[in-house]
Amino acid sequence: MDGKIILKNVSKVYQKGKIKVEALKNINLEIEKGEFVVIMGPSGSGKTTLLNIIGCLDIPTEGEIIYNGKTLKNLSEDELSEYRKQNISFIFQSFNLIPVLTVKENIELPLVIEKHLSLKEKEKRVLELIEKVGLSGMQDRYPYELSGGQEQRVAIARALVKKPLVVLADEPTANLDSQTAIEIIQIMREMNEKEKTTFIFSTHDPKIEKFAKRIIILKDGSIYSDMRI
Amino acid sequence: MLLKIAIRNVFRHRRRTILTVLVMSVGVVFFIFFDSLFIGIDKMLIEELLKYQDGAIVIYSKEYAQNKKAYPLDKPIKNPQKIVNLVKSFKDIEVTFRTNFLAELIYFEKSKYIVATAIDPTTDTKVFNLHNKIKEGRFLIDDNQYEILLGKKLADEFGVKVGDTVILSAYTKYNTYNALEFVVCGLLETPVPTINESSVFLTLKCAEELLTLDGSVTSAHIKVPWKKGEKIATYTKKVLYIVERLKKELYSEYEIYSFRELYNDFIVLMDQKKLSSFIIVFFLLLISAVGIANTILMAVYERIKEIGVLMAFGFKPKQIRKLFLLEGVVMGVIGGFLGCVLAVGLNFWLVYSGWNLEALYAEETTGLKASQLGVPVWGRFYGEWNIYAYLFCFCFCILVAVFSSYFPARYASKLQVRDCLKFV
Ligand SMILES: Nc1ncnc2c1ncn2[C@@H]1O[C@H](COP(=O)(O)OP(=O)(O)OP(=O)(O)O)[C@@H](O)[C@H]1O
Ligand SMILES: [Mg+2]
Repeated sequence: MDGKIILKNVSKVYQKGKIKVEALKNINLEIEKGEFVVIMGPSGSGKTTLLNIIGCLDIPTEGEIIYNGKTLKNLSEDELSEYRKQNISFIFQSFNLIPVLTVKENIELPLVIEKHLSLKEKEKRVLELIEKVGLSGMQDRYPYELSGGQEQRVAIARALVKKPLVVLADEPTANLDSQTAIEIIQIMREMNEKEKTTFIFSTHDPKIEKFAKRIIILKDGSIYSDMRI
Repeated sequence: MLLKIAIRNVFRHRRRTILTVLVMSVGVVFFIFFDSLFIGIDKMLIEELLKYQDGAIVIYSKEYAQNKKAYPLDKPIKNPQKIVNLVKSFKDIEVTFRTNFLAELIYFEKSKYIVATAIDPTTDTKVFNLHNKIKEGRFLIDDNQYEILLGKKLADEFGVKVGDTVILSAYTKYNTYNALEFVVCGLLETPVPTINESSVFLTLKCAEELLTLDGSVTSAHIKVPWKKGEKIATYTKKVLYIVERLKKELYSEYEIYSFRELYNDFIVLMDQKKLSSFIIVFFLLLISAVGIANTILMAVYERIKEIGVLMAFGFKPKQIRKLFLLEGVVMGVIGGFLGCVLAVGLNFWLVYSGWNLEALYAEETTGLKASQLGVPVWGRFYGEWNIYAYLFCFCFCILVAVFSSYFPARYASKLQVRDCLKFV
């Protein structure tokens, strides 16, 4: 149980009729538990594809992913879904909160399918997180009553509530102004440090670089550079 | 939580929901209304026919029964006293005897063939209710005056008034021709159109003069009291029980009919009318099923991202399906409930105030005689409460909802996570 994520010779080829797109080419990557990784690179370089594959939303054409020393090769959709449920959380570019649920209910949502937690424990976790992401007093608001930055805070809390191994975020700040974007990244960084949760996210914004502990730059589906700061 | 999401989503798209739910509840209202009306009509139909035309049980001699349509006067009930004695052994039931015969009613140059009925004015009133439905004049009395009672519509057709003299001609029991003059003593207006349009009543004493009956009668009519609020089924059972007991004593010489057998044709006819109304209801529910299916499918398309998010967080296809199924069920419950509530209101009106179909099909506007409409009884129809119709409708709505949301829900559950999250 080292919490390590290993990608071994991962390739992804999209086939559109006769046209083949090599979105990822032979990626080899090791991510330790508690890392704060930024993936950068020009548009079309394969950032989203890489995150999808790490997040078990998509299956690599070749190669394998190893979580905690366990290979995810040859798992069925259901098994992948179960794996996601236990270990992986997501933050999305357009927040994607459930519009008919309040802040509190949105955060609680991933716990609905956790059968082993008591209601009390769930409640406790939710309230703690509301506090931590700075949304105290807004727990009964609906998403449409929030600003983009506040919505993304809810999304961060929602991603953390089940205490996942890793949180994946594809351009989580793209829909926010630069000030709010920095705030959001800072919250993510804080959570990363407090909870020892691994964060992997992609961005186009160079201002965000300075918050990262590790920057991976993709180019045409390959790793162009990988540096720890 | 899933239920919470489902309920809130249903209420979020108010207009869409209202439309679907309304169609559904209109279906329910229709169903309950017609169900109530038909039960009411059935009951009233039977009740009125029993009161004015036949009684609950009719007895003929075996020979008469075989040739009933010809009204054979020479095949009478041989031993009326035996029947009277037998009836006395039952509680509350009454018997009277009648003789029906074919006759020609003549008034100046107008004439018409009708079935006339000779009755015993003293016992007839115990079994039938004709004496309470005299529009003008009075009921027959048991003396030797030559008097007859006519249906109001028949009298109007002939231009006959109370006190006028008409001629009745007929073949006697010995097949000779005879005719007598009668004074019209009263005009009948009953809920049974055929009586109003073509009935002629006279006393058995007068009939004796006209037909040389030698005191014979051709049919016995038995009244079995119908308690207020008693269901048709229980009443029928009671009557059939009495029929069985009568048959034990009388089967060798007599044919005994319960109203059930007499009105079989009407009952079949009513069932057909019911069927056609329920087809309307079926279509309404079909429309609402399509409505629900469409609403859920729209919801699936609109919320494809939401589905993606849930799946990304590890919700299983089964749980996604449940979410959308629940949405359908919520609509079904609302539609069914609303329908039942509205139906209670309409039912209330139908039960306590009644629906005057006569006004709807007035002779003046449609040009049809009431008897031509195929309903043997006429007037104000009352509904009945039928709790099972409500339960049935409510369950049926939910069933329709589950069925129609199943396919969109299944579609949602089969979506791939990466497709749903494409534009996230
Ligand atoms: N479903 C798909 N079918 C076919 N080709 C795809 C699909 N998804 C991505 N691609 C292709 O794969 C390559 C990598 O795409 P990807 O979305 O990973 O890039 P990205 O780095 O996230 O770009 P952006 O910064 O614009 O989001 C692109 O050339 C894209 O056209
Ligand atoms: Mg992308």
